[in-house]
Amino acid sequence: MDLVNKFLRSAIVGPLAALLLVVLIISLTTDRFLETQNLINVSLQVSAVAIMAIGATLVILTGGIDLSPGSVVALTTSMLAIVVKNWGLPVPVGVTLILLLGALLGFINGVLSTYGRIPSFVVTLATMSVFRGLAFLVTAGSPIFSVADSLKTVFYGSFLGIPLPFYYVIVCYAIAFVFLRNTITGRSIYAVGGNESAARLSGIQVNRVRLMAFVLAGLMAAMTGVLMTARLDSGSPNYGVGMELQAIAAAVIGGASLTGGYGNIISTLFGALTVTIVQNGLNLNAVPTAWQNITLGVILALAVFVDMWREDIGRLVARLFKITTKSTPAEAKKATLS
Amino acid sequence: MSKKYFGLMILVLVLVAAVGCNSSQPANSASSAPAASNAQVAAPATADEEYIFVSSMGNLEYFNAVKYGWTWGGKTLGVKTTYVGPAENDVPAEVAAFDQAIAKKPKGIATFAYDPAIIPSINKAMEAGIPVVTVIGDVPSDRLAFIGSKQYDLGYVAGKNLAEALGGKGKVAVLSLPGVQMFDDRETGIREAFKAYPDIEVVQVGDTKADTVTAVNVAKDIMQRNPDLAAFVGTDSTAGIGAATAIEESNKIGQVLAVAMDRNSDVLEKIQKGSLTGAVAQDDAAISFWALQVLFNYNHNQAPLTVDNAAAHAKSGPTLINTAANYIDKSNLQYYLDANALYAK
Repeated sequence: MDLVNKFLRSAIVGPLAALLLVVLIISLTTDRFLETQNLINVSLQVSAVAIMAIGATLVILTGGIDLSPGSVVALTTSMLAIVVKNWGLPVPVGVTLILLLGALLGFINGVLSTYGRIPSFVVTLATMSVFRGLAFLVTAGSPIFSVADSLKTVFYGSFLGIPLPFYYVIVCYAIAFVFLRNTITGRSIYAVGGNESAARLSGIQVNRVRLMAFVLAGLMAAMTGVLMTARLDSGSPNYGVGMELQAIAAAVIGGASLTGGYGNIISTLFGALTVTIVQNGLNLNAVPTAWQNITLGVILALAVFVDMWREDIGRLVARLFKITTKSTPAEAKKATLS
Repeated sequence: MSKKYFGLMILVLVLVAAVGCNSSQPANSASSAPAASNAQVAAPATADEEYIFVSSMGNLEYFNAVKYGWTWGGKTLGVKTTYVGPAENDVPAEVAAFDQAIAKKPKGIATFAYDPAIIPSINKAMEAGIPVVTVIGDVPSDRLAFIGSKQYDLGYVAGKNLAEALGGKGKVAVLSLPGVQMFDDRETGIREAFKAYPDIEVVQVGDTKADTVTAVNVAKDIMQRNPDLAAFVGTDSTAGIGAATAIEESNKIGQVLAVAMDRNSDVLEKIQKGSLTGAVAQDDAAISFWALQVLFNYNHNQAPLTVDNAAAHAKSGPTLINTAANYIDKSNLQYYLDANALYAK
């Protein structure tokens, strides 16, 4: 019973409940949703945004925001295509270089946002343009297609019948989960986002922690870029437009607070799944475009609303289920960090 | 003054007068010629006669053909052609390039007009006596003419060819940017073509949001909803690549057909692969050529609508030229592909 209590009060419950509710509603509207082929499609579709959302969550947890991942995707898909197709480097080498590139781009964002003391919103708004501009520059504006046959297996391969991208997502989230919970840097991310001055006073290198979050976000965006290049067998400066907003939506629906310090990486995955499944469900019901946009906007607003009113809603739910709300500060903090 | 110096002075004066008269002769000699049965003197073209194309998004492969057609037109007519404008989608930079072009006092300006911000510059040029035409996109302004494809025609050719490839029946899904006028017009053309084939049914319209990955995902969802879907028709190349990729991913090449737009090399590659059945190409190289023709004829061959069109404030000549829409499939794709390579040089 104590375990159930703990689960019900944890940060995962809300987003998981939302996801299950969405799945339930969609299954009732169409019998095409729960078919194996569709579930495979959804797992492929969610992979790109889910991985980018890890990076978005890390930055949001430190109290910042990253608007550049979509442009990082554009630059990394373009560079990967150039490196493999035009320069003839083998795919594994190309992928490694591109992941390093992503980390470097994240580093630029991070340095300007921390040591540069420019608000991350402004920095990443600028790099959003600069990175995409660079992508246009290196590709002369056109997509580079037919990159490499061997890239295909990166996205379309499968293991035990399940598509590879699904595994990438699971592995990345598992690593992120352990990182945030069990490493000093990971826990420092929460501290920095929750209360920056207290974190600094307790000896945490605030700038370094926030910089690390941006570097990891760049790395995640580069991974998304690699996946996209593999799926489409091409790189283009036009890819990834607007993707950062989907990633941020996934993080917010997953319960991450935009003020920082609160959020659970696993529920970001639920957030990403919610966003993807809602779109999938709307398409399966042939809902007109206008209504699709409205639905997604309403869901996002609801998620933020729940985030703001979390405490009150928690108390209401607890009272409804007659679960004790008397919790010690230690218990409450544990719930926050789980 | 001595006779020698007097003669020299007269000679100099005569030379100055001759040179002065020549350089001030207006290109449109209609304004200075006296009333006669042939008021517009057809002055010969000179290699210094400059026509400027002000573009935007110049880096898109689409514009390679447009650039090539403009230069080719210049060689054909024996005039100087210049191509300016930003490589990216940058409206302020395009407006700046336009204003700089006006300062050069060219004999004509053609511009890719897609944003109202360029309207003042167009009007300024027209007022300064520089003829302006818009190409590919149009804005309400004082421009002489618009040269471009008729969106409806592009859609109609796509719809007709798809219907024939389907043998006149099947369920079809449209992939487009619903709400954007240009693409809605294409969709209207597609549906109009389908009217002649009562067994063809449009079952869904998907929004690609101008993003390739979104297009793929939407196409796959549509195939999931309609397992007996026979074909996709896309109103731009992104929709085409999206549909083709979705068909490849679902291993349905040949089972589900797809027709889309544009003759970019990546679209042509999909046709070669078979995941796209065909694409409708705009007459891109001709659009710029005919734009140049309109400007050139405005300067050299204005028909005698009045005895002095300029003085009468009379406009003469075409105000709208719609260029051809062509269907590309495996049978003729190599010709387009080879031309793409030619344009890229």
